[in-house]
Amino acid sequence: MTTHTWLIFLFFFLITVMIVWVFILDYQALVIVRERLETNMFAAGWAGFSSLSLEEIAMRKNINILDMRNIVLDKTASEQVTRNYVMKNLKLLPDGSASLDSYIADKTRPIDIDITVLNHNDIGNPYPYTSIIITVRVPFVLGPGGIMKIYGEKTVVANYDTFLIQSQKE
Amino acid sequence: MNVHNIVIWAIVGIAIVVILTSLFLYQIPGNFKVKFDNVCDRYYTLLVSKGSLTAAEINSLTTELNSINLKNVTVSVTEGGWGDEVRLIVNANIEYKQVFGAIESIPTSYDNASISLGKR
Repeated sequence: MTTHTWLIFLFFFLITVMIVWVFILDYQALVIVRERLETNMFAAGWAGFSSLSLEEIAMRKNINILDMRNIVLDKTASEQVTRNYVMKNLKLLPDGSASLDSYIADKTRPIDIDITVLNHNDIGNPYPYTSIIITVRVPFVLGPGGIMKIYGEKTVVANYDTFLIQSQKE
Repeated sequence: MNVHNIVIWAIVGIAIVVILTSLFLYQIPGNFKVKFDNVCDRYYTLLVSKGSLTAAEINSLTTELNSINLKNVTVSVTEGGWGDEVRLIVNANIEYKQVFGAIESIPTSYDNASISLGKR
């Protein structure tokens, strides 16, 4: 092959490398956003733990409201508080889309938020503690010019265990 | 191979190295952001559980962030007892060297709010 042919080959090789690299960087951005989502969702979940069901707690023999393991939550109030804080921490607008201040890059499509509050004694609770399960579906764009539009899903479980894990992060 | 070809290949070689190194360096801030968030998360958990951060803890947060190459760290804390809103805002600059040795500085921030589970 002549030098000229090699240079053309190299040109296309570099273009390919750059396109692949854009995908890699976008994927890395996606991973970072998922990490940040986790942080913000845990914070919102913990806010939900402030909505105690005083009526249910009063009926128990041993009252230990500072112990998150056995706390009893008012599910409706807890879900509302958690939702408010998810929206606040992710800096969402009332219609569910990301505001200009938000780190979520796609500002056009709405973010879905699903919250389930499970008290420790609820039948079917897979966790040994009172837990707030938060799932968000966030829009992402990948590739040069945002060629791929996808939704990324992230679920966190805010409870006694995950509180300890967050407090020991390296 | 004549001198003309050698010059062309040398230029192409240098261009490839510069482009690939630039692409590699471009992904560095992302790694810092994850570390930054992890450090802030630890202090944030402390804030939620106690309702406040002491001056020593805020100092320690700043020192930890400085040690992982985050500069110009500013910390803002909203404290509160049980049921009050607590908030931690940390702003910092991620600094790293670019391909020709220039220092790139990228601002990043951590902003989390919740309700205090600490004593009133």
